[in-house]
Amino acid sequence: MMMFLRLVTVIATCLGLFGNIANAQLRIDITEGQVAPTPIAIANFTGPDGVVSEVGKQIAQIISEDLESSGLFAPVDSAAFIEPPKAPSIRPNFANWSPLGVKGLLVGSAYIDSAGMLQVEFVLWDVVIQRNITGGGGNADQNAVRRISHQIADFVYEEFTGDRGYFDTRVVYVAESGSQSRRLKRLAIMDQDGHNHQFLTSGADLVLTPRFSPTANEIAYLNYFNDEPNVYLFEIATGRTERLGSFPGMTFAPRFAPSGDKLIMSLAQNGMTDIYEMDMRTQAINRLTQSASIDTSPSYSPDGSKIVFNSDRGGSQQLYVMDADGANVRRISFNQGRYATPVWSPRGDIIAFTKMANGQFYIGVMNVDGSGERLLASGFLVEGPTWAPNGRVLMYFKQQPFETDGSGGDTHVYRIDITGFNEKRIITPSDASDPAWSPILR
Amino acid sequence: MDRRSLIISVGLHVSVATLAWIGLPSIKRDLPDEQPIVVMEMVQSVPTTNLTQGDKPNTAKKEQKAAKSKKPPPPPPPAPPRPKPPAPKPVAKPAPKAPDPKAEILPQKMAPKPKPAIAQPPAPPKSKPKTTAALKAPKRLPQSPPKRINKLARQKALEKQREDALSGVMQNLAKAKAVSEDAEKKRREKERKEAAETLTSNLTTAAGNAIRAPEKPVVGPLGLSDIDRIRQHVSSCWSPPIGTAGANTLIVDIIVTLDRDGKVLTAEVDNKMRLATDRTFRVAADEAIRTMFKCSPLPVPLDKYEQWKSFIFGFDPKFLTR
Repeated sequence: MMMFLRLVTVIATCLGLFGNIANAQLRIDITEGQVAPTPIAIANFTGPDGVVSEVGKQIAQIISEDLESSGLFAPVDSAAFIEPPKAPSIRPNFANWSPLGVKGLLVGSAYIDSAGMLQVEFVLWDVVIQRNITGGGGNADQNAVRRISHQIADFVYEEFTGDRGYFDTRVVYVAESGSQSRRLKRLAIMDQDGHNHQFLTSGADLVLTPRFSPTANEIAYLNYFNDEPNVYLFEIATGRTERLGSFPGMTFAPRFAPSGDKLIMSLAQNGMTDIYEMDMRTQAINRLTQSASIDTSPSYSPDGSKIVFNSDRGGSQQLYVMDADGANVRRISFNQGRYATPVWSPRGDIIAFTKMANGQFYIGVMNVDGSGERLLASGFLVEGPTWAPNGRVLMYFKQQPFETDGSGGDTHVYRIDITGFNEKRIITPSDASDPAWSPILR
Repeated sequence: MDRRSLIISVGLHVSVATLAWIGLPSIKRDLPDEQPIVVMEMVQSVPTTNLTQGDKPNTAKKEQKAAKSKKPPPPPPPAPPRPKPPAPKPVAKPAPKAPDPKAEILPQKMAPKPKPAIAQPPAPPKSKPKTTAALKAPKRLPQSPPKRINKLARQKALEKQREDALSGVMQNLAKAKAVSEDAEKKRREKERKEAAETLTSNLTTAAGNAIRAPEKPVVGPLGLSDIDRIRQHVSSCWSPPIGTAGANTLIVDIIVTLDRDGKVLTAEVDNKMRLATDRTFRVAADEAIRTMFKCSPLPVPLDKYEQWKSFIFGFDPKFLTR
């Protein structure tokens, strides 16, 4: 009887399955596509009279450069425009834009009003679907042309990729100059595209590993004072510096917790280097690891619940993950080579790292469980990855080898898409190392 | 102890076997969750439908061609009038250069003369049938003599039939009996067949028309080559969400309707709930819709409109994460 019931059930299931198949609508799965930059038209912004303004031209240029630099957009030369738009409020004649093959059209107006303020308005059109995607406007100080342009570029980026843009961000790094024997290292800050460059420290002390706070108002960094490394805090608005805590040993590799109320760092005491967290208000420290090995380069997960760090406790330098309170330590890197400077992605899905193997340095990423390792960049010395706030782009520095006469050793900052494409050098006034990408500015 | 251990062993074996018996089907039940299997089934069923449905359009094409080739014959009808105009022309030639209306009238008046003279071309066709009839006549001749013989033969045959009728009454009765038995057999077989058909139809109805359904052109007569052509065309227009977080989950189904030229009329996202709540999904959906309009018209076979007037395109970027 049971056998009969089973057979009936199986037959009914099969028949039901066939029935479902038969009643389904014709479906075609598209499992391949064209990986190419999105063609887009960025029209020069016009003034109130419908004529292209000087500042409008400047804004369109900055937006185009931002989008093109991402590697995900291909702005079309404005010389190809059949009928340049007069104002963002006028619906464009899409028949004039479709032949250009563009998917999006950015139209805007920008002018300086009688009060000396920059007035900006923009509309992003979908040329294929022929509808308005997004729009906005606002005003700013005349000196904020670049920043407002970056913000508009962020809007466009977000509408076509689904991820937040990273153009309105800054980068702090170590500016290097002088000979190798008398190397001058200063803190410097710039926009993500290298503009608005500014030195923050004089170079009297050696500085290393700067890191932004979650608000982007402070920078924690390592400062060698009297040949002893200690963690300092730099307040960007005032330029004030402060040594964090007074400990018997050396402190280094500082990084803020996502909440901003704690700082995590390494402290070397009695021949042991362990990871500590420090309360920013009370400056009380709490030891998280206890081993005879060197535990360093800690980095929080975006939700603050986990910490990734590197340690040689297993015999070689490898990556480990533990809970925020130091419990449940587990190794995640098992491939050949040594791993260092892990940084958790702002998305939380992957971890960037520096790898040393076969006499080469690499910048790579892996899943948080250590699987899916991918190497994105390599060189004589590539190190110090830092994430763009949207988790799509990595910045790092690359040093060329020295020549026998002591020349060479050029050090520059680069960025690369996490797909491993679109590596670009960031132009800086001098050699640059140890970059740290800011969060989205507010 | 041995007995106890034996009992425990048997008990464990029985429990393992029971678990396997109950558990294995549940493992199998999970398999259908993999949606691609359904897709594969649909694609596999295409060739069969394609063959049956594919022939129809072909014959239709042939018929259309034949119809077109038959259409030329209609032009010939207008042709007959042509011979008539030439007839008047020669008549018109001898006549002075008169305006067309006169030329039209003249032929009617002069008709008797020109008809025998220039109407010779139509004449041959008339004479031809006569010649053919003459040729066919010999064949009919042999048929007429038997008619004379039949009169005598009929009388003899009738007499024989009367004799046979008397002597073959019993035979006729037997034949009639046999015929009635055959009819009974046929009736029974017919009833059996009808009963079998009703049974199968009832079974299929009970099974949700599952057996009959595949015969319907749901998948359409579109062949694999048709589908591949459409897939390749749409793929060339699609920019997948490369580098986007969770790209492997951004599978967008777009319901597309087309006009008879393959032009995209509408393209709508199937999962409207997620569209409203997931920003990344909305961007992926926008790109999928753009792809459909950018790719319009689609390279669909124009003679199979009923099968492709509505599609579901599933944009699946999983390949980015492989």
